[in-house]
Amino acid sequence: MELIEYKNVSIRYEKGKPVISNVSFGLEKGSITAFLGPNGSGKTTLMSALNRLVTPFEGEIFVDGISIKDIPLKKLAAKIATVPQFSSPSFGYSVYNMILWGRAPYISYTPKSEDYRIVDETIERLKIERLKDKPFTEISGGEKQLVLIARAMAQKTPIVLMDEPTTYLDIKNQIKILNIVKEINASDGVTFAVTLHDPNHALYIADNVVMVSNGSAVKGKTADMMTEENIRKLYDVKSSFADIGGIRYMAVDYRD
Amino acid sequence: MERRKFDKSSKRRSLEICLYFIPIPVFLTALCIGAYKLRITEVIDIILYKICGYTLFDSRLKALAVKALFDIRLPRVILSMLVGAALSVSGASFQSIMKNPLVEPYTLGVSSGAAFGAAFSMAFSLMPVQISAFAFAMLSIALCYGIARQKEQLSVISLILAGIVISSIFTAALSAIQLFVDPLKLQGLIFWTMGAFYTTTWSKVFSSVGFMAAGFALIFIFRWKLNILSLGDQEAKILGVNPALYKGIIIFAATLLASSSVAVTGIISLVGLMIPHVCRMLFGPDNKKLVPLSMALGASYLTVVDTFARNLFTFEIPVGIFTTFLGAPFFIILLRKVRSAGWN
Repeated sequence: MELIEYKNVSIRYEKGKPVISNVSFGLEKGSITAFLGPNGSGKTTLMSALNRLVTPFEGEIFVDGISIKDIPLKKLAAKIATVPQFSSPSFGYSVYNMILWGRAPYISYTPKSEDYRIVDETIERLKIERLKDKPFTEISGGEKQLVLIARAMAQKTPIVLMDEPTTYLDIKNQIKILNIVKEINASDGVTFAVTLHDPNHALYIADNVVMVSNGSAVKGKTADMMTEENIRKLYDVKSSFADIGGIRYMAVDYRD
Repeated sequence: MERRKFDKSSKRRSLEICLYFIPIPVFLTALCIGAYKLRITEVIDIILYKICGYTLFDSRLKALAVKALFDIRLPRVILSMLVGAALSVSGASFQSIMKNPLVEPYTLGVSSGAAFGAAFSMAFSLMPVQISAFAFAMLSIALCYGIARQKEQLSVISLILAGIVISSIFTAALSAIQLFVDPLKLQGLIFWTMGAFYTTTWSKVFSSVGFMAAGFALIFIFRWKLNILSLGDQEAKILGVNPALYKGIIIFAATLLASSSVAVTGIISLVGLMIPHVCRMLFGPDNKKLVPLSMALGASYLTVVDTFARNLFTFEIPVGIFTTFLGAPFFIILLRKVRSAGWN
């Protein structure tokens, strides 16, 4: 059985035209799935239905066989962590506290020693000790993304959603984030669903790809999905693929 | 380098502990100062004598001293501490849930709504002062929130502007009440709107303490969650905190604190803005610490200011005038800081 299952899901905003229409697919436990699609295709919307930021008007989404409608918000947050594209707190909370907020699903009133231990462990694992006392509002974009990943790790969930984690980062930080995702997936068996803009990032980290366009979504193995034909259909661009050093890359034709 | 960092954090920790205890010396000193001067040993003995029937320092207790302290000064100092703490905690809570460093009961129109409610009740005696103040304070926050919220967004400046509009409406309505009220009640009503403790009695303390205790308890219990709520609704949801439920609880509690303060003392502005910011500057924005620290500093600040207000001249100056003069420059500095960082 798949860990996450979308069954005939349709989503729309304020009684408008559906952004997503009758979509069904599943995400396997321990896999990394990349959601690809042009701007406005609905890939973030499709993922946001999973953490209940948007509610489908038709169909259901199941996690571990239970409809997410029936899972209380707090319990859902103990199953699914989300790394948002950005976070802009109005106050300069320390990086340490921003990571501690990840323990919220387990804290009724104030954090316990166990929560602090998990935060310390996470900071050590991601090697971000030098950042922990700095205000979150004063660190770089790449560092912020790392901290938000650390927060999701401190949440200790079997599923992590990431919304365009590499969009605003330089190449060095993009590589760092992608490798962290791969490493957490391999060592902890965490299931990842990641929306991405760069198909090369999907080729590097994803086991499966969900291609989202015109309200529909098609899922398949990365190797099967990432073809010149599918990329042309999805983005309306010409592309070609090549294997370099055991990694598959995609190049696009920049001439319009 | 490490040692310097350690020294800095241990100094900050010591300052934090001092701040938690500062209300005690402020309380005792405020009780000593007044037209009838008392020594601290006399103050302690009078309180002990009234509560337990014995003294600690064997002071010779005069009937006038006992009366001045127990019937006049003690309820006043207790109330100024309660109101200072209530306005500060209310301000800190509103700032967190509205993601806005410039809001407080006064700038949100909550104080003016509560003042109208209380004056309405005082003038026409239709319902208890506390209930009326709370009902109109809730109405102002609802109006303010409704006006400022557009497409799920709550901008810093629209909230302030909505607060100004709502505040003006209730201030105008309050003026209208003053036109119709019995001339005998008018002077008291005007003095009361300036924010003063001079009419404090034990019955005022008892009438507000229950409401305030409920407000303090709710915010203290959920103070850590205020951090999560301050990240915005979407992030609160993904961290498993129901924003509608907890924001509802916090708004209810913060409005209860502000309205019960206004009902007994009138409008005391900008305490709820200044105190949480001073605490944030000194100890960081984590609400787990910020709420109790604002409580301690707010209680001490208002008591010190009120002690000045009643002793500086031969006549009494309403404390609200002092807090506005002290708080206004603070608000301007903050406004400039926020504006340079962008309105939203």
